[in-house]
Amino acid sequence: MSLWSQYRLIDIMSNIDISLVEEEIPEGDLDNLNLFPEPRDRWSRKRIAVVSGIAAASSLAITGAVVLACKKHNVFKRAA
Amino acid sequence: MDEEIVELLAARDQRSIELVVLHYEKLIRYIAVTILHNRESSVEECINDVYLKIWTHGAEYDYKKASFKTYLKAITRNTALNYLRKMKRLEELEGMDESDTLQSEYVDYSQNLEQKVIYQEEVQALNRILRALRRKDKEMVLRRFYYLQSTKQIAEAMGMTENAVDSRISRLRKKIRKHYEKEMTK
Repeated sequence: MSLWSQYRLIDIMSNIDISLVEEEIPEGDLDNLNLFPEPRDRWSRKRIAVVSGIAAASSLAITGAVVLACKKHNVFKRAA
Repeated sequence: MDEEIVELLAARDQRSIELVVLHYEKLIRYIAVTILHNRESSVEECINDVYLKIWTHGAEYDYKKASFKTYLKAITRNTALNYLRKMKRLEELEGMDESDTLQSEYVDYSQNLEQKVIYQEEVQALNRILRALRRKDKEMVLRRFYYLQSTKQIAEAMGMTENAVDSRISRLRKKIRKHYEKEMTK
């Protein structure tokens, strides 16, 4: 049985000799903003945009349907 | 500055944590965000946990072996990984779109009792393998498997293309595996 996998490697890395981590990694990355990972939250910006779009489109569709129904039944004229 | 922090920690002076925040918060956050992928609440909890661990144990580490900053990096990495494990256990990662990350497929081996028995031997073997690697290869292995950086991050940081990073990591993985299995069958 092979004990090795990259995920096992990640676990074993937790206990490697501390002197092996002494190098200037990742300190050198801190000035480069491109290196900061993009947000990947459950509610990422993309997802929020899609949900907002759907919500806006459905409210417009409902408003349109109500206006059409009112016109059909002459609600506006009767009100005037 | 590190010496001052350690002295203040030993004296249980809260200014030690203020100094850590002032000088190292960006580094701590970068490591945590890379591993936890900007899951804001977990990142904040993780960072607070790091400060607590530093406050509690900061004066006990062997600073002849490594600098304060190195311990700080190791504590942050391991704390963030523990949070990732917790999240994995809670299946919070389920359904998350995380292409090109190790995080989304990460399997928690730390809970497997059978595996724990040979754990120390494996750690020693990996220490020897890492020491034998060339500097740049070691940097790549640390970035990928210690700090869980993405191929994109590694490529940007090391001035390489993503394809080059991918193929090099693949070769390094095979090399480590070969040495590792050789060491473990000795």
